[in-house]
Amino acid sequence: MASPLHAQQGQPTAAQSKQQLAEGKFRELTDRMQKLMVVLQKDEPEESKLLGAGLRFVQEKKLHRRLEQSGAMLSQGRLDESLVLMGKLREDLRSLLELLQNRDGDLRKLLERIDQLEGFKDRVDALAKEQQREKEDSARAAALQAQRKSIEAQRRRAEALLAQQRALREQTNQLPLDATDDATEPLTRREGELMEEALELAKDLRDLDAADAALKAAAAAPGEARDAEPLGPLIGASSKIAGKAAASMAEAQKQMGERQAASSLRDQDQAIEELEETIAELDRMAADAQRALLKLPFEQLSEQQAQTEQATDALAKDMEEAEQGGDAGEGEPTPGKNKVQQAVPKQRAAASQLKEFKAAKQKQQDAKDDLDSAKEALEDALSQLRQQLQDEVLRALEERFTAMLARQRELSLMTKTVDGSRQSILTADGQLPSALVSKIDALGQGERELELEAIDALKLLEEDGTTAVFPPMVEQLRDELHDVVAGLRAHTTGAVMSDAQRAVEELLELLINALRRTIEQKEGGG
Amino acid sequence: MPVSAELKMLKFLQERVNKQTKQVEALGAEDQAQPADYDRVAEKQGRVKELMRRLAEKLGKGDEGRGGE
Repeated sequence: MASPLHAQQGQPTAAQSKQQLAEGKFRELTDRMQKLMVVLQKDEPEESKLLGAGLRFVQEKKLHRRLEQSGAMLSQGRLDESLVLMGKLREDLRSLLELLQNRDGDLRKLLERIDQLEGFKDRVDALAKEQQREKEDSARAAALQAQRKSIEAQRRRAEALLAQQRALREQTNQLPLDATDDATEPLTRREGELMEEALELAKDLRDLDAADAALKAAAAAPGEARDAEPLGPLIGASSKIAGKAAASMAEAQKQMGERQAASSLRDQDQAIEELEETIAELDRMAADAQRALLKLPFEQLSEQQAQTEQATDALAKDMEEAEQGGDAGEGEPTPGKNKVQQAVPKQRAAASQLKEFKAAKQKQQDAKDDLDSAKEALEDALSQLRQQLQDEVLRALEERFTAMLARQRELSLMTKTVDGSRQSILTADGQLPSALVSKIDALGQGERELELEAIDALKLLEEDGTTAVFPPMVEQLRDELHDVVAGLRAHTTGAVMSDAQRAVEELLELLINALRRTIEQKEGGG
Repeated sequence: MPVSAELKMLKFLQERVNKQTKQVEALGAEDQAQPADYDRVAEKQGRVKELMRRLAEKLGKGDEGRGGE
């Protein structure tokens, strides 16, 4: 029996007619692409470039010639060879379609852009943290310097008070046993004055003690990656001791008023001892401050700040290059770039100030603020890109599944046709004719391509967070296509295969419907 | 994604699990089912259950949101 696909005498078969039609349509299409490419060159260069790439692809793959070859094979009755060639042609035409639709190209660009901005954001974040740490260190160094100066000033006051108390004690010691009120009265008054000064000193030392405790607490703050200084032997010690000295002076003044010179001398000695202790305590505080300062040398702070400045400058240059280079962000401004650039001179000024042993807290804070603003700008842009990515993924999936459904319907129909032929042309020994086997294999290949499409779609879904239910649905689709492929490879074409193919179609319809509704909801602002 | 669309897909997945369960059961009756066949269906059932739990959670949150308005 002659194959219905074989040419009758002088009459082209249906397959040949379709092949000729396809050849003609394809030539028409490429002619139009050529013309459109020229027209779009000026106003829409990107579109024109895309058409150019498509035409190059057509040329490189010799699609016109191969289509003709396939037609010739059909007319010569070389069906098996023609089927193989057609399978390859279909793959190339699909690639051409993808190229022209720029399918997934936009997605890829978007993903590259997200990666790029993520990288910039991480670098800005690290620099902002580094800048914060450097600001804290230099602020602490400046505070320690100020503290050391205050300690020196208070020590001078305590020294002066001690000298005066010693002199007064000497005068008290020289009083005769029967000293008159006239003799004791000036000394009593003087002791009262010294006591007032001691009280004043104790009050000022309270502030100094508080500053000392705060600096030590800051050094010991948890999470700080530096050696914590142990707290002083007694917080507020210097003011307390100076307060005791004032109390001893008050007692000495009282004893003197009662002309008890010997008792007064004992209290004055006590006051002298306590003033000496106050000075010793101030020396301890000064030594602690000096030790802490040695751990934060300005040269080192300046060096660290200079390094941060260089890293920030390098980042600014990379952000600038991203705008001009061939990277994902080509032609687009890099969010936060200006702020990163603005941070650089501030950091440079801070490093210079630190080199001259000057605090640079404000400049460092300003640089940190710039870096924080840059990070914020990058985060905003990333959030928008992620939203855009989600939309693109949904659209790409909808497009892909729609094309898959059309192809599945085609394959289902062809399978039914092949199954119909199968019933009528079974060989006597029950074997399938080889032409039919080739057709079933080609159908299996078609289904295998759909299975690969489903696997590819799963990769796309990794980028989407719209719903958790999509991935298992697409996995189900992949599994069902896999079963269909296995069935066709076993040359199953009857009702079982028809049901399986119908199930794939249903699944695709469900997915497309869900995707469309999701896109509509998103477009409606839902 | 609209909840109704999500529910439809879950219903679909559950129906597929049911169908596969019947197939494995039929194979089991003929002593032809492999342990891996049961594992595969169990895994799919587990996944549908997890998805349903998540959807219920989402719906619960939606209710809370409405309740608070």
